[in-house]
Amino acid sequence: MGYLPTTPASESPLGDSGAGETPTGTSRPTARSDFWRYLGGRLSGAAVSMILVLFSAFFIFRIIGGDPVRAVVGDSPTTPEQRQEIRDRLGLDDPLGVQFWDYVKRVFTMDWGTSYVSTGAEVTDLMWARLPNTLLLTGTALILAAGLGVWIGARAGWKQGSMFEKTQVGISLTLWSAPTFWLGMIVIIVFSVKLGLFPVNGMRSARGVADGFLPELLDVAHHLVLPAFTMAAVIYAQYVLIMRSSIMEEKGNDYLTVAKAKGLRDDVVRRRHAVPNAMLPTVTLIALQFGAIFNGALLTETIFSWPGLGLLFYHAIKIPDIPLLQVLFIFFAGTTILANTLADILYRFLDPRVRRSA
Amino acid sequence: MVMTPNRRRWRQTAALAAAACLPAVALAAPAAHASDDASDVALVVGKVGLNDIPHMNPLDSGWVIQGEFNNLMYDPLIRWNQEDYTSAPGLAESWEVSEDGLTWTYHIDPDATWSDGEPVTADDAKFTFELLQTNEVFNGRHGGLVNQMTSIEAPDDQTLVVTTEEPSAIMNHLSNTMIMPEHVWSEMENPEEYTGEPEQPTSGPFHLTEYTPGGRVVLTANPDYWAGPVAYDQIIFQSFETSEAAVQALQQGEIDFLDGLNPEQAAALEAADGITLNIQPSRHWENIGFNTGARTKDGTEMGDGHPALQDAAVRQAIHHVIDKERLVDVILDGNGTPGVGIVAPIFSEMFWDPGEETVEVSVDIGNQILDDAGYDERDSNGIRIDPESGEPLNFRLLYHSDRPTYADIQDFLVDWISELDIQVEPIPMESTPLNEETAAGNYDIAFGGWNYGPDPDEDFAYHTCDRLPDEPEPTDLTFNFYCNEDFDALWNEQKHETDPAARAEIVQEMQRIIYEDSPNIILYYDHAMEAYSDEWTGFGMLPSSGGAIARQQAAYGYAQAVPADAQTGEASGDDGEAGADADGDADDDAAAASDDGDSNTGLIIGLVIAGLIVVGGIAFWVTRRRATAEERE
Repeated sequence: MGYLPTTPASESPLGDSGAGETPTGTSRPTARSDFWRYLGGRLSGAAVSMILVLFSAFFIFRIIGGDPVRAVVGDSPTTPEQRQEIRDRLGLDDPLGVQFWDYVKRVFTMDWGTSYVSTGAEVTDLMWARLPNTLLLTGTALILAAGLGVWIGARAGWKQGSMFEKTQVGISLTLWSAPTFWLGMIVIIVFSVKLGLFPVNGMRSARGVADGFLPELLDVAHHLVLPAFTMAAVIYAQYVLIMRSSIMEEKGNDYLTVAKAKGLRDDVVRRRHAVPNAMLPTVTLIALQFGAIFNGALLTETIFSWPGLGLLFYHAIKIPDIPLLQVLFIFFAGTTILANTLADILYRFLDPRVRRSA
Repeated sequence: MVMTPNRRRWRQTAALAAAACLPAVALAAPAAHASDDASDVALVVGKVGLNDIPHMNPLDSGWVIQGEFNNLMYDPLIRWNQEDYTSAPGLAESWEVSEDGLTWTYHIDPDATWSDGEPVTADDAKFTFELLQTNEVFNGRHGGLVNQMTSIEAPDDQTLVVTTEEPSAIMNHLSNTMIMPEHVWSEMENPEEYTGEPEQPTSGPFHLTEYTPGGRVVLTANPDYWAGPVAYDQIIFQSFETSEAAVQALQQGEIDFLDGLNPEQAAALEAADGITLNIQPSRHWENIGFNTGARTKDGTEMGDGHPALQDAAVRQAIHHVIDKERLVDVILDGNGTPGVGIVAPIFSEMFWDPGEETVEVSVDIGNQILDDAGYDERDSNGIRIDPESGEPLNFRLLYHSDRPTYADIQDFLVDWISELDIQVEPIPMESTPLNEETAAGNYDIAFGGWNYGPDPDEDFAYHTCDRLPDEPEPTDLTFNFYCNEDFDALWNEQKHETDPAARAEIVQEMQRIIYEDSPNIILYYDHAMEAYSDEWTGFGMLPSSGGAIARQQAAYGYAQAVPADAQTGEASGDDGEAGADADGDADDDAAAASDDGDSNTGLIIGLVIAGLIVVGGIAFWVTRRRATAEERE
């Protein structure tokens, strides 16, 4: 069916085995060595990015300034001696070189240290504790956004110039341009305060619920609705636009005319023939966004007090809790780099043209 | 031939419906209501800033919120009296001081127990004070109290004898310092690393059940609390990022109590059903401070303050044009009182009422003071000139751009002061850089707020010469680099005055000096604005005649609260510390009941969703049909 190009020899590693070692000196490199070179390029690029991230993680949070001592002592009066004692304990007055060396050692031992304020708490423990909450929110939002975006985008592109396209693209762009904190407040006021359908914020009811898995699941799901929809509303426009433009690109192709000539209904032509071919950029976008789901959603989490990584980061930067900021920054950047690299590799598998031109 | 698309369409619709059901299932979960859960009656308190607190170590607490938790879980030897902020029995039922004012004997209440049943003894107090002396971190917090103790003895379980180097006023209230259980804390290797563990024995009305940094804090009532248990089972502190969200949660019934409202929020809640406001005097004031000449102890000048502000006459003239009543009316909507001295009026014993000495609001008097002091020349703009330096009276006024009230107040100040032919240039700044500038003496006039007390010692120290820096380096330990030897002499006197009444007189005289000399002008004492659900009643104010419920230096506020339908209050019986786990069955029953009770909401919402899906599905189907028909044409 359809146009999906049949891939030549399909580059199965098994089928090709030995090809890389052919001593015949053909000028065209084999597909396999091609792949390894491509992979090597991507991975070394990722490694360079990661090294830059590790360096900047150290400096970036020391540039922003601020005095963590205040967060440790609280809002009560303190003596200079007391503050000096805390500065010494946290190593804030060590020369930058010493601090950097300490940091380098931490990078190699993967020991990211303890938080300035949560006494004795390993920053990685703080991070892992919040990660599932973030994955729940951003994962749900991403699925919603991608599903909705692809569905609307495909229809909008197909019916270019129609009322549907104009309204849907308009709505999605409006939502995309809406500041998240503003949209979040509106959503809270309408659905939570006025209509009373959902909790205002947080992830669980403060009062707690009856023991048992189901009540807790429902409680969390109930809290999840507004933040997930708000986040999805803001980001789904990307999928709409990309899906719409790639459908529009496909539309003129002969294979679709053939499909129509076969007497297939318009919907079927779009769904079975156009959409699969137009999915490619969207898949890449999803893969790219996959990195973002680890990063949490700083704004959404802050507005809805959703206890994820974004909120953790927000609180850490107010202090600033440098060890915690460092590990979060490295984690965010690391997952993004990883996702980008995977997207590059995935793209190669999905689109034979990349393989041929690489 | 129409079969296939048809079937697919239905399949699609079904899938859509299924997808829509996901949120619908979530929707069906009933919104939280007080009666939902079960037998445990919990008071839920919304807290903005709960995330600020780094830990729950009761001996290393610097945040007001940490203080609230400490007061709910532990008792000091001496509390603040709910009537008038004088000293009242806590774990010590009585105490006395020797003739020479150096030896203090505290008698521990024989009924006082820890929540694990162990008695509270004088040894616990001795252990705690000695820990505060030797542990560097704790000493940073409590050195002012314990470093003057030369000996701490516990001759028997009920008697604690403390000797001090010099007579000391604060031994009369021991600064609300919490006592820790020796039988637990002596086992800790690094007590300064204690961050708050559930189920630790406590001497107060509650013990800790759950503490997740950044999440919520759950305290469970001690059913056998020696001073009388509270009327409910748990108090839960829920974190909020913004007070707006917390206000909405209060309206939704998700929380029962909220403090720290602004006037707009209070007005909105006043109009709401089922919510009671508590607007009462607090211990907080706002002021403008003058750079009285930033310098070190040995007189090395620092900063760039205007020299004319070192002259009390200029400050007094400005004092005369500030209409504090007007500010209270306009800025606080009447919810405050005009400012006088450092001690807020709720501390009735030490509060100083200027009476006839109240600075009269009068432009004429202000101008007269300036004329008399020699500021009678004016520059080409009509601004008075400082005869000493020859500079026009052109002052910078720094205010915090993140504090909307300051922006409003500065408008008034600029106008009022201009009538003295003094020009004020308002400069908005972020808090952090603003504080850095004032600490370095780089300002003329700056805004600031303060929570007073309740002991005058620490707060008045900010006005003493001893707080000037040794080196010309920034410091936030002085108010306006003020230094006055008469004031210092009184400060030392009150420090060693062990008779509370005599001390109060000295403290009032100190306030008079500051009021007249005007290194700063206290604009107003603002009222605390709090709100709570009508499902609760009986919250204890401090002082009881009219004061705040939250942020007390005592547990009265929350501990005296009673559920409005008090008959359900005594649910969890007498099974001691295991109360949290003991009533699982009751939980399930109640949950089942609540599901029934709320199924209406769920049902309605479910029906609405289902209706939407059906309508949407039909619309979808119709448009599809039409599209196909059009294509065929």
